[in-house]
Amino acid sequence: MIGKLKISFIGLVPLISLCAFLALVIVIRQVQLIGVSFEELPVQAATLLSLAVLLIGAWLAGVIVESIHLPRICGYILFGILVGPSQYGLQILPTIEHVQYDLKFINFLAISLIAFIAGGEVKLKWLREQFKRFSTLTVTEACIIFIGSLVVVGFASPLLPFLSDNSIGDTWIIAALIALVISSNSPAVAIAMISDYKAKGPLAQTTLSMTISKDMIIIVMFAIIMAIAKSTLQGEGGFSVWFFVAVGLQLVGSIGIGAAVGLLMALYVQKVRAHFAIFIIACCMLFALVGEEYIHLADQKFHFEPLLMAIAAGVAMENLYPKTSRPLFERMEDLSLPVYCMFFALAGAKVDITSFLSVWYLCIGLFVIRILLIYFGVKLGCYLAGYKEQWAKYIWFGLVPQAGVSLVLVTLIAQSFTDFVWLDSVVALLIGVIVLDELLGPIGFRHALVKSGEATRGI
Amino acid sequence: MRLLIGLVLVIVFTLLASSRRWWAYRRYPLLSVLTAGGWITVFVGILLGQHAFPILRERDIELILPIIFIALGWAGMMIGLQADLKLKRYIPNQTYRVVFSDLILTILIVSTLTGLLFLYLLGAGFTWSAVMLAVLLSVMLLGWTGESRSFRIMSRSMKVDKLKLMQASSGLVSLVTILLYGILVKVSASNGTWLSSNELIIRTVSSVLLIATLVVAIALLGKWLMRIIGRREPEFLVLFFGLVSLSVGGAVALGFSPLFVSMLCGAMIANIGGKDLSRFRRFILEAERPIALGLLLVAGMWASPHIGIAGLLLIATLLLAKFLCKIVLPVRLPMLAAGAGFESTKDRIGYFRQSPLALILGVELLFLTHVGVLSQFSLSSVERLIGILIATGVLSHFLSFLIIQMNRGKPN
Repeated sequence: MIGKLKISFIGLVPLISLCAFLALVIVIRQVQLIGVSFEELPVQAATLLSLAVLLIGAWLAGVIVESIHLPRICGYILFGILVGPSQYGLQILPTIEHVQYDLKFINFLAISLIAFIAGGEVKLKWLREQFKRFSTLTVTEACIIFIGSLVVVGFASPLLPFLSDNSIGDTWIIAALIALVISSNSPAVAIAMISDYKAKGPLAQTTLSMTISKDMIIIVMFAIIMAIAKSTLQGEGGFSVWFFVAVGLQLVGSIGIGAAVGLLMALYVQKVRAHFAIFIIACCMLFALVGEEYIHLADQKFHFEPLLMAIAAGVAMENLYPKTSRPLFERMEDLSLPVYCMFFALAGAKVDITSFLSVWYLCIGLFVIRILLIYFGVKLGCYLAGYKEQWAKYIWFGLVPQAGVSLVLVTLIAQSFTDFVWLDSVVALLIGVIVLDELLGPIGFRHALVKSGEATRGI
Repeated sequence: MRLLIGLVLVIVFTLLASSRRWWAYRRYPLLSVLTAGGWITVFVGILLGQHAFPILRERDIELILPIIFIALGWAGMMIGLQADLKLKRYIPNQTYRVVFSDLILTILIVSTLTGLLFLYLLGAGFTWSAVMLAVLLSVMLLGWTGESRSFRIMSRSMKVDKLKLMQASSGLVSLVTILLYGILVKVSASNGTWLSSNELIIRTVSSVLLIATLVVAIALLGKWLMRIIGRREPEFLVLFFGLVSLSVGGAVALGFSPLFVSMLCGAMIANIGGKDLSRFRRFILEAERPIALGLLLVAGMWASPHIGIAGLLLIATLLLAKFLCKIVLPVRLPMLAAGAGFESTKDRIGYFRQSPLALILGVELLFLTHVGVLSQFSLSSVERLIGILIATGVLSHFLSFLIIQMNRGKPN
């Protein structure tokens, strides 16, 4: 009884604070104290105010949900949905395009920082020792979820109103795009939760390495399937030698640039030994800016992936200069909280509840199928790879969450096939599944970290 | 590729700047003059800037603007946190006299001389923009750098108490500078219509009320949330970024200077913060040097070298005005600095060296113009102004070195 009272009291103060903070922001919006609406403000003012709302509000929401033993990430995402431009929310933030454009760079910066921390957690020595088992598990799980969801969506297409009018070939290509998004994971959620619960052990290491490796495979696969989809559905582009060169350069170039910057960063840490935080932010800004730049190669254009560059930099630093890099990664721990608050709240704000509600039954169906495929994929992978340890039965929980990468893939699909009637429904379906995964996934992963005994904080 | 080259250059410069050999060179007075006060960072900025080998495109600038505004807000809050009224009793009276005399002399002399230059030599006429620019320049040139290490190397004969007075008064004068600059930005944003309008009182009162409400709300929010945080440092960072974004965003939305509003918020938090404040303050001040260097890098990147004859004349005028109001008059008019004990020009040479705050104000002016809060100056003219401020800054440091060398061995 006393314990319950204590819990509710801990959550009550931040709850009152959050309500008061939101009330203040709503009053400013409604009264239009300054004579103009939020959307009419200078772009930078709206951006900065949105950032303030996201940071303070998400943090308070995280504290509230933590008091009822839920992961903080759920609070950040829920807060994003609450204040986002969806018609079921408070609509405190400006329209979604406005937010996306204004906070785009800060979001890229956040992705780079998260990816950099994630890279720092990947131990190559451990991967080398575990290579055979680990690669068997990852490839098996990736194949099961991709092929399984492709088959399910492909064969269920006559029952799906938005796919039933397409030719068989087109239907399977759209199904492949859906399956690829469904297969993606969230290294951001994995690293945020590992860092939040200060988890250390084989489960945390395996899950994080799996999400990173899978995302690297998915980025390459996505480029290939998008090229097939564009050539088949739109009759443009197609395969040439240059296509494969561009995809190869994107992958190898991103990893190469990231690793080179990682070595420079290690040199800086070794020689300068000061101003780590500002230096990390500068390097991640560079990744974000480089990622914005498109390179033309014959009839192809490509860009370097900020995510891959940052991961490669983190991996290079941690594995080549582990002792030197430790102070920098420790400083990153302090920096990470505002980044997580902003990144996940913004991911929540991008969720369109209206489109989710329009296909909610399909979303729930696909969500359940995805979980089943992950579960069986991991079980089979563990069996083939010989993972018999107790913690291995919790791996699948870490593969459920989806967030940034999945949303980026959906955005790319939405931007590429604007003239197709199936687009809105497919995007709504995918966003709906991502919403469920990003809200419920962390709860399962928290359970896994606690049950495996690897979580050392917030149990 | 240019971004990567830029990063490599920045890292190479940083490695060089932190090497032992470089530190050894700082024993030499002239090199210590050039390396102190962040001038090397400014030069790196110029090298990578929009007028040399640009590493940023127009689109990149749009993307990084929120970060530059947050850095400005951070700097403002750092300065504001120094305005703790409890510290007032530790500040000797002569500090106030030094600041007050500088305020009067600099505003009078710099604005008069630059005004005359605009009116008669440059033919700008008696326009609102010209008047505002003259007054803004005079406010930007208020104060001096508090950096004393290089000055001690140059002038070993200067007494410790005089050095301490110079440092203490530089902190206080920064507060005054941002306060006046903030008011000027608001007045300037009205393009002169405000002053000539019948609604002068209503507009002034409403502006003061708006800013007071914003500042009090942010400070109270900060105080309340600091109590929830307790001792957790990452949470402090969230709160701090949130408060800075709120104050800077509010400032831009209301047409105020972000430095001004965040400084007021910092001052308010400093006075109501309670026991949690010391941790908050320590945490913010840790980033003082990197934030300042970052803003100086930005200043260098946007400084235009195309200043022409008019720019050269303005540099000469500003240096002359500075010479008069920072060195000559405080010594010749003892009533202005009574009690401060300035017996000869030697005692005042340190005050001639320009404060880095002038460049930070220039950066803010540029980005307020960029986002449309200020419309009377063109972007190119503000870029030239930053170039001029860099030139006067470097020359003020170099000339102070020369004056010390020339007076070496002479009695006071």
